[in-house]
Amino acid sequence: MILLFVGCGKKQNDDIKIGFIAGLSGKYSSLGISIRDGFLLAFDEINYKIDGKQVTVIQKDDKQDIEKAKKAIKYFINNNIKLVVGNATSSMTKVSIAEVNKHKDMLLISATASGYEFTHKDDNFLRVQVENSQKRYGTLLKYIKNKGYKNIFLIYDSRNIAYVEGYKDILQDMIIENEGEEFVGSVDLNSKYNLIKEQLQLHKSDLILIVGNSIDTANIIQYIRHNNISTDILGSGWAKTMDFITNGGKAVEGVSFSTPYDDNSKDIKFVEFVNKFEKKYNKKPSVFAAQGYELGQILIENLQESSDITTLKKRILDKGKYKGLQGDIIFDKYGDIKRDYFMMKVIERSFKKID
Amino acid sequence: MFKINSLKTNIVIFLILFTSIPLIIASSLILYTTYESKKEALFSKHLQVLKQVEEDINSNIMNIEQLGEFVRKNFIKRKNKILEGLIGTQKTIKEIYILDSEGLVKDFQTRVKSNLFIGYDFSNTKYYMEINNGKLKYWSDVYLSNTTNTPVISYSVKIDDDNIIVFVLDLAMLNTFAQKFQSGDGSTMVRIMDNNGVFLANPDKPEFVFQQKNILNLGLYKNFISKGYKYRQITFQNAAKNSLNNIGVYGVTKKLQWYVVVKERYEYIFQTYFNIMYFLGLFIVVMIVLSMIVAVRLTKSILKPLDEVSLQMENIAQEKDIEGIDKNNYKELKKLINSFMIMKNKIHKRENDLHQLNQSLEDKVKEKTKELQILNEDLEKKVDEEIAKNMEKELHILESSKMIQMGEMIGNIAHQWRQPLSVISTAASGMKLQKEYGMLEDEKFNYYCNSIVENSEYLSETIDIFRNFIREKKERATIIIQNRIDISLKIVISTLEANHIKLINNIDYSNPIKLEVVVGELSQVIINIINNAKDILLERKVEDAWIKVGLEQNSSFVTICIEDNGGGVPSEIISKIFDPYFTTKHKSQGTGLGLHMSYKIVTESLGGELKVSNSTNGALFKVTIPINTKLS
Repeated sequence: MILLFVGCGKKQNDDIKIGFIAGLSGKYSSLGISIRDGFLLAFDEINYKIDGKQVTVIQKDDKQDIEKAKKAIKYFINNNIKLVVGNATSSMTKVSIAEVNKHKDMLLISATASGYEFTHKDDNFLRVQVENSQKRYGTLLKYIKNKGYKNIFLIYDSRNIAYVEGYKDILQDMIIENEGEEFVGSVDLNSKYNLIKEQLQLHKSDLILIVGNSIDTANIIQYIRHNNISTDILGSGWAKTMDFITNGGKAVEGVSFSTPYDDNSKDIKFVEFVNKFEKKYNKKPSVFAAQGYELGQILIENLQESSDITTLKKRILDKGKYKGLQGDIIFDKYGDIKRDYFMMKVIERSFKKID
Repeated sequence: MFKINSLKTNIVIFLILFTSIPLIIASSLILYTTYESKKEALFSKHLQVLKQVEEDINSNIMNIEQLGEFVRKNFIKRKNKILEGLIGTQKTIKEIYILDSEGLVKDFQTRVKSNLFIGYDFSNTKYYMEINNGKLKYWSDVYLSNTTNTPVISYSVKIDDDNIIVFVLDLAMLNTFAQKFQSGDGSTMVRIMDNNGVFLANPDKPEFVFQQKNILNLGLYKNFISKGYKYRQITFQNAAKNSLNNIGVYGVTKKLQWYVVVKERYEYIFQTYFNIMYFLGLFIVVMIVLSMIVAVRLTKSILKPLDEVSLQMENIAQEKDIEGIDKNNYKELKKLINSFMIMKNKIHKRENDLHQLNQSLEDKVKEKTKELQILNEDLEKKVDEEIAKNMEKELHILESSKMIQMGEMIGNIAHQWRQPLSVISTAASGMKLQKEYGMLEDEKFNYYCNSIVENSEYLSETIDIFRNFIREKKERATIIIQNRIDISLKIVISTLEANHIKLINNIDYSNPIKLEVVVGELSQVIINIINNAKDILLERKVEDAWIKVGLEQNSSFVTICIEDNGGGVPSEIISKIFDPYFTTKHKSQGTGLGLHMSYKIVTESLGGELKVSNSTNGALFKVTIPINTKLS
């Protein structure tokens, strides 16, 4: 009886708490939910136990909103959660980094943020994504040159400007450096569709580059094609999810992407991952789910050695090389990674690799 | 080994257990029955809510399906008006599309601002593909609508080959519906998930629906739903907390296989119960403390006189002065102390008596020891005298034995010589007589002379045998036993024949047996036994008397068997016949030393055994001697 009163409560300090932040609702949620589902699958495989310690993942939705992102990071800080995975988009990651860097014992790890301004910094951040730099756009530049595209029109999402800048600045500079032309025009994807149509009609182009999430990109492409604009379209990696094809209909056939992930890879690790994902969630995984899963596995591997977050970044980078689902993931000393990019195109409702 | 326990501690523990155990058992039983009945009542309540929610969901689903059927039947006639009518009246419907056979939007109605336009292509959506692949109607899982940017579910119905109607349903209506079922603590009891575990309704955390969160990683799913524990009472953790804090039940809707969970906060439901448990526990703790105090005091009051008695006992044991006997108020203890005092005095008295007795005993022992010493000295002297006497006696026996042997030898020689001496005497007197009468012819003279020579030679030979027998007496040599027996028989044969006793020789000479012995001693033994047999046969006047001599052997021993037909040794004396001076013969015949000497020779000198038994004919003596070597 006395024992009933004494109880035998769990020691909360023994748990490993991981914060997860991404856009989980609304039109930006396709990316965030994909990463989350892949990330959680990695922990589900180990039954949320690392070295006998219970792993708890606390999810927060930034809704692609600066204030929401700040509030979520503050929640993690106040609740002594030192390891945070996120954000999904570069703009939100920028907000979180600013907060996390105020606390030396915290670490932010993103599966997908590629903003160039995070590059080569010895801070409390690392990512399993290639940064927006010339090496990322090399394949894309080659594709544009080979296809002979001269007049490129940019449609971009101003709510993720940190990501857009990679295309707007780095890619454009690379094109100009390679005897190409400046973009003939650009318009915010959040503008009214008829305004976008007018801009497209106003600026004659041979390639429309759309930098936006999967739903917005699919919707605008449907609108463009519906208005009989047949210009070739290049999407950003951000939009390359199954939602893009589902919502794009026949209009998205032929849209190209530069990507480091092959959706049809026969790599045994990738095939196993796809099978596990489909079995658990009853849906196909996107490349972002794969990236979330890879990030989960890297964290598990390192947390198994020690759950000390203050040394986690150093330990991840010291090891440097990890087995990814499609080849090795190699970190440089700043926590940026290298991957080989190639071109893919939507053909018959699926992403197919092209030369 | 026994463990020594403290009486006081044992009494205290016993009193505490005596008061607390019944209290604990009774309280536990009360708490258990209260808890079980509370759980049972809760289970009935939850099941009732679950059934109601399931029925309402099924009813709503049926309603949407009926609308689909209505549109299918009336679409051609009423076309656009039908969509307007539905969106206006059915609040659960967020959007309605009419798709053509290619999946393009032909017409639509929406409650929300969207980028949808006529011609919008839904051909890659699952609902279009399912209908296009032949289904007449299709319910989707939760998906993110690209027009409303919220999670929705849709119901699609094939109207005809050119028209498909899609109802996009607002999940908010499910949330609103679920909100009706509230627990006493203000939280809602109902959660609804689709068949993939994705939230459709969670009024307490509506963001779970917008974020398309699922329950696949929760204990609720892993421990119960995946194992099919539907319609059974379950306790499970909340998504955000570690403690076990929900109690409820789950079910699966018939139509769309959605999971419906009805639950309440465990802590809230059992708060009163926990309070009772807390106070009861506190009461028990207080009771235990009180019983401890009472037990200690009671023990002290009971054991104080005992402690005093114990101290007084200790003083008695240590022979100290005893004080305070009168102060003890208990007559039993007083009696006990007095008894101990009496016992103490008696012990003292007995100790003194014992001491005195001990002293007199010591004196007596000393006196007796002295006497014993004198007696011992006398005894030693007597023993020495007896030993000397014995030695003298032994010497006498030996001498007597020698004299007897000599007598026997002379007897034997006399028997041996009687016949030849008679022949020689007869021959000599015959020759003398015949010479006196001049009748002595040369032939007769030669015959008598030859007869005298032959008999003289025989006498000479007899002397050699006897001389050798006497000479060999103490010499140790290797002999063949058959030959030695033969020599012995030659010494006694004349005496036996003279007494008409037949000597039957059964010795096997084909296998000579070699032995190392004092040769004269073995012959002496054989002669002694035969002489003894002869004396018995003569004494008992046995007709057709005989003595058989035989030889038996095995790998280790050789046995000389000497048997007679004199009727045997009487059983009452058979054990004594090897004793010195034991004889059944007349004093003129036996000394009682022959068999004794034979026994000593066989057992001591030859290392063997001499045994006597009675056969069917008479006495059978067996001389068994160990074999050293064997002639090849």
